[in-house]
Amino acid sequence: MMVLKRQTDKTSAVVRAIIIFLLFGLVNDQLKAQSPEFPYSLNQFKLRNGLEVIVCEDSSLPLISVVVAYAVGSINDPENKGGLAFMMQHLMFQGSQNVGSMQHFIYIQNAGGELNASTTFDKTFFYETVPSNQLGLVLWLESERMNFLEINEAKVARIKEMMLTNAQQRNLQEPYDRYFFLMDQILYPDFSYGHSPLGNEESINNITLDDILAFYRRYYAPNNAIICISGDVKVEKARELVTKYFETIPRGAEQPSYPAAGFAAVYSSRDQTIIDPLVSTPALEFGLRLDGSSPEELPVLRLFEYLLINGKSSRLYNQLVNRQRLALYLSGNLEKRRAFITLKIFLLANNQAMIALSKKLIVEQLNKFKVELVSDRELNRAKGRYRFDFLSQLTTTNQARALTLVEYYLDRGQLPDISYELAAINKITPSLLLLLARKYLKEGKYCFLTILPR
Amino acid sequence: MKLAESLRFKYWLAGLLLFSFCFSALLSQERFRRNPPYPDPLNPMKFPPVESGLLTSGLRIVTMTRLNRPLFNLLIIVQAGENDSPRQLSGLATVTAQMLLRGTLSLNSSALEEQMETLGLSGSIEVRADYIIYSFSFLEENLESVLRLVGTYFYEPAFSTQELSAVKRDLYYKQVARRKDPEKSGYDFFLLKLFAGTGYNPAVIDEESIRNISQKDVVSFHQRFFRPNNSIVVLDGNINLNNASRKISQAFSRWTAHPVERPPVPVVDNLNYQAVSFLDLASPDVSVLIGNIVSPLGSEDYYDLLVLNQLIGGSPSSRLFLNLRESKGLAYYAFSHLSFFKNNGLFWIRVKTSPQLVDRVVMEVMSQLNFLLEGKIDPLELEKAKAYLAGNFPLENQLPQEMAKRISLQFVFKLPPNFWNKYYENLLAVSSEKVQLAARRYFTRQPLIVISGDFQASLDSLKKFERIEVYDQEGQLKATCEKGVVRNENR
Repeated sequence: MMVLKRQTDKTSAVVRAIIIFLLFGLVNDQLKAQSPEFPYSLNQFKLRNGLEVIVCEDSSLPLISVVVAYAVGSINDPENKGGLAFMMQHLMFQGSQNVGSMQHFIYIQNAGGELNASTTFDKTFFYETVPSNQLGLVLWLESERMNFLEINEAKVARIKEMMLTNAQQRNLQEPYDRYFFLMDQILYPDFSYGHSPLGNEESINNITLDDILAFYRRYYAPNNAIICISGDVKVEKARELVTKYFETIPRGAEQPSYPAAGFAAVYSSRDQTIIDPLVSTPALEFGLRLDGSSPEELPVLRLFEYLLINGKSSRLYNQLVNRQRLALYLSGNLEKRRAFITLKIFLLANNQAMIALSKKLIVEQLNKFKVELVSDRELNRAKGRYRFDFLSQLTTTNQARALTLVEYYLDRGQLPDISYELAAINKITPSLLLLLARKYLKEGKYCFLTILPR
Repeated sequence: MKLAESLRFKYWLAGLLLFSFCFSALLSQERFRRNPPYPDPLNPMKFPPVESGLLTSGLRIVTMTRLNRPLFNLLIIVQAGENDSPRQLSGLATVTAQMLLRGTLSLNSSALEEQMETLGLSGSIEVRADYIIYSFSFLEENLESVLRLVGTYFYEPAFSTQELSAVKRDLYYKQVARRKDPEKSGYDFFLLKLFAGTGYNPAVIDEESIRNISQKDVVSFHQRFFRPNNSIVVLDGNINLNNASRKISQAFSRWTAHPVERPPVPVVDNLNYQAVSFLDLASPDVSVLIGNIVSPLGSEDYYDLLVLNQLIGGSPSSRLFLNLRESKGLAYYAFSHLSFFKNNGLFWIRVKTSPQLVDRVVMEVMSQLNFLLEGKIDPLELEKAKAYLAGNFPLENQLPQEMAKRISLQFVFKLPPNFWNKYYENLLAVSSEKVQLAARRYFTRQPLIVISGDFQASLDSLKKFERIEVYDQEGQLKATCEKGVVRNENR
């Protein structure tokens, strides 16, 4: 059994403890003023080891949600070892020095709580919601696996087997999944950006215990993590507990910058048709990478997403599902991978002819944004929905709020200013949308995948 | 010299003390990591202030006042459900409920959707045996516009034939897909068996009857049941009862009252189910459903049943999951549930397994039920179950619409006003004796066992059963199987 405890410099830990004791309350602290849209106080501080902490007080229910996020995801998978970040997520439940394998689940469940985890392109989240009297338990569990995780060959073998079995089942039960990853490879022709976060049989089998240990030591460190506590707790109490459980965890190495993307500029395979005996219904995937967008353009792009595909009265839903009844199912969104934003659309149709018509209609609708101004009425509708969704995420449950805050912080290095965000959406005009459409909607970059049953 | 030595000694002593202090602090830090911390005392959940009043139209208004929230929830409960659909028109309640959101006399379906999105209004419909719940969430600033819009759904629905066809088609395909799922179709079959001969429809829809539903049927169902005097409006947000009543009475002023008659719902008795029922359908997996009728929501037994359910199968830390899945590897999952209808409750177990393991699964479930009847419940296990329920209660209410729904059901099921606020008090009073008494009340008779999956593939594991009745997907008896010997029924 390999114990992954980092070496603690005991003397410096003591000195640090004394300094922190003396400076308590003077650590980088920030209190966000309440706004009518966001009636909760937001506090932020940083431990000496670099761990960022966000506390959001909401005493409306005796509940607490804790999100621990690490700035690591599939982009950090080594070449030929795709799936490592996802495997690490599973291994984080396999026990640490003082917590037995899978006991993390049992502790949370016995308290009546819920837990989950997820791995994205560049982040890994672990989250729990428990009655508020159990905050100490959650922080104890999270600190255990942040620094005292125990991994051995047997645990790795078990997780590999589980990942491979799940992949087989997914191939059978969700046959379109593999084409989502194929579209990623077309849009991001580069291992770091374009490979499947789930890995494949070969890449999963390539991963060794040493790879995992190195990955854990490198990325699962307090200075590469952020904790958000949202719910029925006072910031003083949260600070006391976070300090107790996390302060003595040693800082890890400085994190390298993100791997640079080496995309080819040519879209050579941007329209493909694939025959697959495992699918039962014809499907169409669309992808468009919006290269070079600036952070200021993000709200405009979000609104564009609402106008195009988000909601039953969006242009594509209205045309493809309601009016022309070409699509049996339609979904789509804007996906962000660091500096890159991608528009993705997926639909199912009854037959190949309907797929062809859908394809034509998508192109028409996208191109329409480049030549016609969106009406005020349509724009206001999109703004209404955006505003509702944005506030709903931040105010409905502690968990949704904590996840939103953490994600925002990891992306932008600061907490959201709710009033500013909403005002930015309100300022968007039809001409701004037209300009943006002309800049990004280049027909030569539209990528299509048609998937047909045999 | 002596002074210097004395000073040196003092510094040395001070250093030693400081070192001991720091070292012990470090040791204690290490010690606290060894065990989970003791929790602070549980902070019981308190519901926001609930007020209720009646408009002159008979419409009940309920407010749940929550300050400082930018979003509102609006629930409208119509006290009619699938049990009120005529037998040959099962699905009528569901179709009618959905048609209300498919256009009004002044706004067609797409204009209505557009209007909803402009107001940031998202909505859902839940149709049960005894009631229909419309649930909407929206921004506080749009409260009056939303009420005006939603009011029109109820007093001037268009019921266009084109939309009716679309709603019927969607429901039909949803039901067809449901039929193919062994657990869902098994559950429907299970419900039909339990309520057979009572005249009560526990919201099982026969997809073939959907075709028979006409515009006239929908209009008639709406006129009969969708009345203010048969409905409840719950408003959850930054508002009090007076304000809510004023705004709702304005918005719903054209919704007219009319006497509503509904036949009484029978109280169903448990039978002694000697034969196992097998619903034969093509599937690689098998679902096993076992259960019985229990008392309704709010009965004296409610909290005892809640703990009983948690002990046996309420969560992955309950007996069924730990025994069937974790210890013996007999099932993909195994859970139990409590569901409630008007005047009746239902305790049911669901297990997903493979065809080869059916007999062992049924035996294991029955041995767990027998343990509750005859065994001695470990006090620690009981306390763990109660602790889970106490801790989980606020999680069940964390979604605002779920909390509003819980409050609305208080009115539908005519529960005492303080029913949910006494949750912890009543939960703490549950003892192992009470749980065992409840178990004996409902499980002394043989519970209903329904197995849903591929009969031929399961045959080897069915030889231990005395008698199995095999049904086709239409629910018709097609064969019997006694100790593994199959006899086809002549039809």
